[in-house]
Amino acid sequence: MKRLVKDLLENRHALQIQFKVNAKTTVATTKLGTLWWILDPLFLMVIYYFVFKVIFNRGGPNYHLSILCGLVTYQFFTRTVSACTRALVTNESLIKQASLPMILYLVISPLVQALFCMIGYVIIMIWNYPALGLHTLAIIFPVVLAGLLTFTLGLYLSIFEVYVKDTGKLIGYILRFGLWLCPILYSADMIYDNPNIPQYVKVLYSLNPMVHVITAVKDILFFGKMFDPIPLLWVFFGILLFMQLGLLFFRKASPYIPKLL
Amino acid sequence: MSELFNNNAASTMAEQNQISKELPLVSFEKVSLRYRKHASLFELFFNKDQDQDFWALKEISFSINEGETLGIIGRNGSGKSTLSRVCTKVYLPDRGKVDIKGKVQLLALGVGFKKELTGRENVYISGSLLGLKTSEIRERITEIEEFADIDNFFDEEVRTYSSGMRSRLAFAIATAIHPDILILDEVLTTGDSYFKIKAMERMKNLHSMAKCAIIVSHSPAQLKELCHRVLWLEKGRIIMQGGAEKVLNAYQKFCKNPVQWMEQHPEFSFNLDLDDLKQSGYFLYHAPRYKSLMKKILGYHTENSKILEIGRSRFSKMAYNFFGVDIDDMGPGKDRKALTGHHYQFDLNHTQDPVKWRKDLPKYDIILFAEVIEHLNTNPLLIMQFLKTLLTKEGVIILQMPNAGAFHKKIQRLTHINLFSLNSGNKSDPIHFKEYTASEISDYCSKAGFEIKEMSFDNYFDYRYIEHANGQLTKKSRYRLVNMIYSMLPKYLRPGIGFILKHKNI
Repeated sequence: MKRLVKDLLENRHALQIQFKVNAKTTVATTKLGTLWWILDPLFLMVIYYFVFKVIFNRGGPNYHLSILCGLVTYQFFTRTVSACTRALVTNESLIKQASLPMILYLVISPLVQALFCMIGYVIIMIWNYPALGLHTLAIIFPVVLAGLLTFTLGLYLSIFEVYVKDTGKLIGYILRFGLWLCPILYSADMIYDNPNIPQYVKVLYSLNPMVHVITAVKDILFFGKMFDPIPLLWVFFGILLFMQLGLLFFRKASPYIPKLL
Repeated sequence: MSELFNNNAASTMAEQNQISKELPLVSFEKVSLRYRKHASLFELFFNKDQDQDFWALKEISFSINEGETLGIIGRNGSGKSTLSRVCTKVYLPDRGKVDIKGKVQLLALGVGFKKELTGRENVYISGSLLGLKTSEIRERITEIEEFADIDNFFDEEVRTYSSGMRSRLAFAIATAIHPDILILDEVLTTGDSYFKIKAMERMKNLHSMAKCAIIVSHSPAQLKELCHRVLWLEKGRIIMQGGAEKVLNAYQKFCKNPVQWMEQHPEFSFNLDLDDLKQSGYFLYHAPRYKSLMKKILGYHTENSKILEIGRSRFSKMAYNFFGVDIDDMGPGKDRKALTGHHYQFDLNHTQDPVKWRKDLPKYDIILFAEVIEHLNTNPLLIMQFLKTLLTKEGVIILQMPNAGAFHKKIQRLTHINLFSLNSGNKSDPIHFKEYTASEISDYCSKAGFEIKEMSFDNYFDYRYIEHANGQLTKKSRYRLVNMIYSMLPKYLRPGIGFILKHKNI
């Protein structure tokens, strides 16, 4: 962990520039440019509102905002996991030519996607301004947690992708399925309070860290209240443990990666 | 372009630089590196050599001092780029030691370039990836813009640039870095003529950019102009290293006719042949037999042993390398000095006529007579009697041959399948005329005046490589079962027999 922090500090200039470049190039060739950063989450919200509210007539008032809270967070998660999985493979030429430590390619995507995620949250905050309060500042915690989670997953998946190219494809399907395993279109209480669902399923469900992250985001932005910190603390310690193991695994594999790329 | 490489032009780097006598900045000691054909995550924990590993670098040793510029030349696939990547620490060697003092930088063009962004923006991207801070890039941006010489395009998107403009911009950025050790890997082969001229002008001031440099290039003329010393790589090995003129002249002669050059310079080609040998299916098929032969030799070999091999084979090079002594050989072809020892002309089929026996040959402590007797169409008694004349009093003959009583031979006899391959009528076709049983050869040797010190039945072949053809590496895992079956059979049913023979009554 110390070495990671040292690498981050020593290469902060390059990271800063890569962050700006990667954020800019997502929309660089489009006519609307940076406006897409705002339009992207809005269009998502419109689609899901149309499907669930207009067509299926489901959900209570402001259901579209509830969905948007979950979608923006989950989109941040999926895009970052996908990008981190491919980070080493897509940056093959940079790895062989530039002096940036390999691990830092896993840091850029979470930072860029966190920016877009925060823009989405700001839109929700503006739309749902009655929910604003001091607790709104706490939104940074679930974002940081999700970022750490995606970085940790990236430590393993990026290496797997080099050895087994199918990893990226498989992850795509898992992430699509994962949408339904997170409280985006429904609230987590619907699972926990449902007597028809076996207990072990509820336990497994609660082991999904994104359940707690999305629940926390909804609490802050939609319900206008502070989130329950206990589940997030458990998620945080779990991430730290896996991150440490992941860092060891990544460092062990690093010498072999450039030759395999 | 030719005026650029005119040695009568302005003084070269070799004349300008003062070569430091201090410890080298770059030092390679027996560095080897492999690429794995089939990599798996298990190699992170169990990193064993595999048969199909490709060794891109083999025992590379060199050093570079401060003020020196080393050129690296070689054909495509010789390992030049791999070597440059080991220097930049992108690749770690699998064997050997690399010692690099100071910051090393590969002069790479267009690192991190984004076509959608402007030249100015790409300067910051590329510069930061090459290790410059934002403030340092800001200081150098005017110099970069001047060198790139692309006028107003500097603030236009890079996708609108020509290849020459892109190369000039990329080169300007890359040469704004001042590392301790600079590595240039064929940077001067791309771009238009204008770019090449500008780049060469800047290259002549390499010593102002770095303490030492390594230039990888296909162009002997460029290397003669820019380098003190040159290292010539071929198939991952150093063929030659030394003064630029000497090495590059040899390289150019080599390129005109590589086969002829290698034949004329066996001292350089030897190691390459050995590498090819280890990769060949033939070698791997016979590997158990070679191992058995080595063990037997070790039982009798001393520092001063004279060794003769009947019929020069791939084993000669291996044994020469291992024991460090000359290994003479006997077979067709005139007497000559060979790389591993001396070659004597004599066809053992001529032992039929004792008048033709050579009496001028030296005597040997160890005679290797492996996998030959079955190819001869002569009475083994005469062959053994002749070989006895070549043996010192305390010497031994190590005889290896296929076992005519082997399990698969018995099956072939029962099923009336031909025991031996058909005679094609081609003189150079090494077919088996006759295979012998242990008792047959024991009789012949006894009659010839030998005492059998040792007789053994062995598994001589790795059947996984039985389908090697033309020296290609082919492995069939189903034949692992054949290997297993033979290891479980009684010894006298195994495919090979080995004898150690001595003069009787010594």
